[in-house]
Amino acid sequence: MTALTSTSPRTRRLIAIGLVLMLAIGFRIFDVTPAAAQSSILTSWSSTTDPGLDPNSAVWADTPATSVQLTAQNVTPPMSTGGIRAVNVRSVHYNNMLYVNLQWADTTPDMSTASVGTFADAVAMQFPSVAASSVPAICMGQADSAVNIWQWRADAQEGVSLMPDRGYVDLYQFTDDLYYPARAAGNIQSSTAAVQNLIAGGFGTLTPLNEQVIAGAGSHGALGWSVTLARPFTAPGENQPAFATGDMVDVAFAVWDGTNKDRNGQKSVSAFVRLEIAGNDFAAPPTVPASDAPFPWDTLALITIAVAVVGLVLAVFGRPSDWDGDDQPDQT
Amino acid sequence: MAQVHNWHLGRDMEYPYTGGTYDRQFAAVFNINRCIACQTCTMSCKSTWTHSPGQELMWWNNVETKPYGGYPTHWDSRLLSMLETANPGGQTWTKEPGPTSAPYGQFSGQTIFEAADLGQRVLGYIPEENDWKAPNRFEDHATGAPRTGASLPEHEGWFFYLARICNHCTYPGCLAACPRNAIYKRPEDGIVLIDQERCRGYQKCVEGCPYKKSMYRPTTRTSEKCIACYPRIEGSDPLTGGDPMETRCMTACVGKIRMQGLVNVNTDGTWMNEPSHPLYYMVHEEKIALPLYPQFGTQPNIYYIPPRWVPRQYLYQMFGPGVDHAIEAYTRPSRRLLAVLQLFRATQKIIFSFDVEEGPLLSEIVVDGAPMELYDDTAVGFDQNGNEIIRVKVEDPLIERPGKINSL
Amino acid sequence: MTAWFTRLRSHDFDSVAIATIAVVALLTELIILRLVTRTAIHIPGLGTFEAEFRLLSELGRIAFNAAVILVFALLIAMTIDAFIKMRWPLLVALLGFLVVAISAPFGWLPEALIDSVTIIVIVAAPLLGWLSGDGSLRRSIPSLLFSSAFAVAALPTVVGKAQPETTLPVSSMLNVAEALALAAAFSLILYVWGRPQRRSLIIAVIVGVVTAGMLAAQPATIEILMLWNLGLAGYFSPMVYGVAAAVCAYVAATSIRRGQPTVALGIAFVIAGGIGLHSTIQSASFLIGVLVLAYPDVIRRPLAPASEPKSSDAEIGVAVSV
Repeated sequence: MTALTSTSPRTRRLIAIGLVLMLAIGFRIFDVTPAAAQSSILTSWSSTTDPGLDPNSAVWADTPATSVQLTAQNVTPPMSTGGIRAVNVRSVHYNNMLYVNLQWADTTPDMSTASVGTFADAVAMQFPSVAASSVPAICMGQADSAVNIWQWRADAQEGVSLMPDRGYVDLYQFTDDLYYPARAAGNIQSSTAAVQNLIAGGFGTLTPLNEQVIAGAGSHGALGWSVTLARPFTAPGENQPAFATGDMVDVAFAVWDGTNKDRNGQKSVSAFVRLEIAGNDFAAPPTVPASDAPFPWDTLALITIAVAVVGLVLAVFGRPSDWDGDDQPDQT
Repeated sequence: MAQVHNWHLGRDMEYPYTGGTYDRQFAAVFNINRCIACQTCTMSCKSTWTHSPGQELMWWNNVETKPYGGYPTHWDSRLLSMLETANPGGQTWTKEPGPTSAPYGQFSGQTIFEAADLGQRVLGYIPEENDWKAPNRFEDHATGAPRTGASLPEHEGWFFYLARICNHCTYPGCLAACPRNAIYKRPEDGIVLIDQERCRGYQKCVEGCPYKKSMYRPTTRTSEKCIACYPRIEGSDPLTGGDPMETRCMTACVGKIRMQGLVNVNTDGTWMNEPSHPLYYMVHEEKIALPLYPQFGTQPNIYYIPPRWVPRQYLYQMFGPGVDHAIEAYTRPSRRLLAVLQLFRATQKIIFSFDVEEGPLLSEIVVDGAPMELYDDTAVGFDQNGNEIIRVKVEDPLIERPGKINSL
Repeated sequence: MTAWFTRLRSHDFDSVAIATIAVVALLTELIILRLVTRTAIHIPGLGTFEAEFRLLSELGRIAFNAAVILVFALLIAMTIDAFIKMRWPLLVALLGFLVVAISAPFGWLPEALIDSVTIIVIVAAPLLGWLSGDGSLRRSIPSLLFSSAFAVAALPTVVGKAQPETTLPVSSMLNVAEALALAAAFSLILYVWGRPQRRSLIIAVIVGVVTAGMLAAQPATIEILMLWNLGLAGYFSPMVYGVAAAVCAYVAATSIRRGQPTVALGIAFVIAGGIGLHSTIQSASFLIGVLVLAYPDVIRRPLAPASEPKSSDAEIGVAVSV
C-alpha cells in the first residue's frame, strides 16, 4: 500500500485497471460467472396424475402456462417472415417422464403435404445436447456444441400415403420399398413417426438420432394447435439431455405455419429459456431446489479476491481530501 | 457468397459455394432442328425411373412446344419476368464474344443468385400442382397461320420443340437453395443428385431450380430429380461391357437429335481444350450449340443447336447472343462439322474423341443462294481409351436387297 | 470508531473515473459479446474464422467479467458515499441490492427475492435522492420513466416465477414498457434544454438516421438485437426509435461538451442495462444509470483537487475510452 501511494496517481490507476483485468481473466480461467441470470423460467411441475399424450388432457387445464415470445428466424437463408408470435408452454412430470404441452394460435390447420408446394404445421423444442452454463448458438447449435431437437409435424401425424390420393393409374408395376428411394434409404422423412428426435451441430447438419423415443400427439381446435411431447428422464443416448428433479435446463422453441409456407429455417423461433424440473406440485409453494453440488470453494475464493481488488480500486481512486461535509449535518 | 467463374456469362458471379473440383462434366448437345416431339425419350425415362406411386406428375425428361408450351406451365417466362422485375431493363449482354472463358460476350444483368430476395439464396418459385399436370399443353401450337407460306430465315407462324432434361448445372440452383446440403455434384462426372437419405422435403430445390427439374414426391415426402442414368454413365450396364454408355433418353432418340458425353473441365468450370472431343468441337470450335437460358447463371450443361426458322429475338432470349453465329455455322456446315453431325445416335457408347477421314466429292448444292460442296467424309468415334467404337459416312450407304433372300 | 469514521469521511472517491472505466468495459462487452458474437455465430462458413471468433468471444467474456467487478466496485463506492453523506434511504437500497446481486451466483437466495429486491430498488432509485432532501423532482422525470419501463417489463418475469398460475397480459405489458422507455429517452432532453448545439445536433442526426434506417431496412435482425440487448421489441415505427436514439446521442454529446459527463455516463449505463430482468449485472448497470441520471452527485470527482494536477482525471478518461 505504501509502495502504491509512493507512485504517481496515474500509475496507480493503471495498476488498478490491470488488477481488474487479471481478476476478470481469473474468473474466465476458473469458469466462474460473477453475475446471475434473471430471465424467465418455465417450470415442469410434479403431477400426481398421468397427463398422457392427449393434448386436451385435464392435467393441462390445471397447469400454469408460460407465454414464450417468438420472432422470425432471420440469421441464415432461407429466412422467415415470422407469423406465429408466441407459444404457450406448460410442463409436468409424472413417473420420471417429462411432458410438455405447447399451444399456439393458428386458425388454419395444415396437415397434409400430399402435393407440391404444401407444407405442414409443426412445432419443435431444442435442448443443448450437453448441459452447460454457456448455451450453444440458438440456431441449430454449433460444431463443438450440438443441440437435440424434438420436432412434431402435423403431416407426419396424419400419416404418409403410399399411394397418391388423386388421379387414375391403370397399373403400378412395382410398389416395394426399392421404388420409394427415400423409404429404402431409411429416411425418417418418409416414416410415419409423428415426432422426430434429431441432432444438429450447425446449419444444414440436422440428422435423426438412432433413438426415436419422443412420443407426441397434437390436436387442432378453434383457436389453434395443442401438442404434447413426452420423453423419459433418462437420456436415451449420447448428445441428449437427461432430466432430474431440481435440474435447470435450457430449452428453445420453434413453430412452423404451413399456410405461410414455413419449413426449414423459415419458422418463428424463441430464445433459450430456462426450464426447471420442480420437485413439487405447482399448488404447493415453490422451494429453492436443494443443490447437491459440492460447495463452490473456487467461486468463494475468487469472490474474496474480487472484494480485495474492489477495495484496492476504491483506495486507488480515492484519496484524502479536505471535504468537510459542510452541506451535511455533522456526525455527533 | 463466393465468387465463381461462369464462362457462359463471361464473368465472375456470386454463388453460395466455391466451385468444387471435379474431373469430368456430364454434357450433351441437342439438335432441336431435328426434333419431332415423338416423346420416345420421355417414355424411355418414365418407364425406367418414374413409374411408381407418387411419381405420376414427374417427367424428368420432357419435350414441350415453344413458345406457348412448358412443363411446368410457363416455367421459363415466369422466372424471366421475376428477373426483369428484380432488375428492370438491366438483363442485357455487352461486349464482343471472346475466348473460351467468354465465348458469348458478357452478361451484365443479374443471375438468379444475384437477384435473390433478402434472406433467400436463389430467386425462384414453387409451381402449383396443376402446373405439372399438363406436360404437353399447347402442343403443336404455332404463333399464327402464315399468309404467304413459310420461308427462311424466319417463319411467319412458328413453333419448335424443346426437349429438356436436368442440365446437371455447374452451379446448380437446386444445390444452392438446399439448406441442408442434401444435394451434391459428383466429382467424377458432375452429375447432380439429391441424397434420398438426407432430403427433408423442404422443396427449396423445387423453388430454386430455374429449369424446374427438381420434383416433389408426396409418397416419400422428398424431392427427386433426373439422375443422368448414372449406372449407365459409370459403365455398369452389361450391354457395353464396362464402357460408359449414354443415358436412356439419349439412346432412345428416334430423330437422332442428341449426343451426350463427358467433357474434361478445369477447376474454374471452363472446358479443357480438346478439339477432337465432339462436344468440345461443337460447343467451342464451331460454336453451333448454345446453353439454355445462360442468363439464369447456373451454367447448364445441355447445349442446343437453335432452330433455324425462329425469330432471332426469341432465340436471343433463350440461348443468348451466340444465336446468329450458331445458325450460320449450322446452315453452312464445314466438312468436319458435317461429319461430326453424323455421329449423333450412331452408337450407345459414349464417344470421347473423333477423327474425320476425307472422302470423295458427292455433289455441289446451293444453300442460301451460295454454292456449297458436299463430301462423303467418314466420321470415326473413339472410346475413352482411344479404341474405335463407331464409323459412319456422310452419305447413307446404299444397300441393295438381293432378289430372293428367302422363300418369298 | 469515530477515528475510522472520520478517516472514511475524509476519503473521497473519484467515482466518475470508476464509472467511466466501467462504461467502457460494459460497452466493450455489449459490442463484442452481445452484438458481434451473437450475430457472427450465425454466419455460414464461419468455420474458416473459428480461431479469430473464439479469441474475440474470449475477449468479450473477459470484458464482461471486468465490467461486473467495476460495476460492483462503483456500487460499493456509491454505498460508502451514501453512508458518508448520511443518505439513509439510498444506503439501505444500495445495500439491499448489493446483498442480493452478489449472492445471486451462489443460488443462496430464492430467485423471487432477488428479482423483487431488484425491481423495488430500481423503482425507488429515482426518488431516493429526493427523499434524502437533495434532489429536484424535475431531474428525476427521465429516471422515473426508465424505472417504470424496467418494472413493467420485469413484472411478467417475476410474477411468472413466483405465481405461475397468474395470467398477465404479457404482450400488452411489454408494449407499455417499450412506450415508457421511449418516453424516457425523449424526456432526456430536459437535461440540456436551451440553445441547441450544432455539433451535438449533427451527431444526433447521424445516430438517429442510422438507427431508423437500419430498423427500416432490416427490421427482423435489428429488432431481435434490440430485444436481446435493450429489451425493446421494435413495436413502434422505426422513426420513433430513430428519434429516441438521436435524443440520447444529443443529450450525451451536449452534456459532455458542457462539462457534465455524468449525464452521458448515466445514459450509457441505462443502455448497457436494458429494460426488464436479464441478469444481475445488467440490472446493476441499469440501477446505476437511473441513479446517476436522477442525482448526478451520486458519482463525483474529488471535491479537493489540491494535491494533484486536475488533468490526471481527464487523462485516465481518455486513456480508457480510446
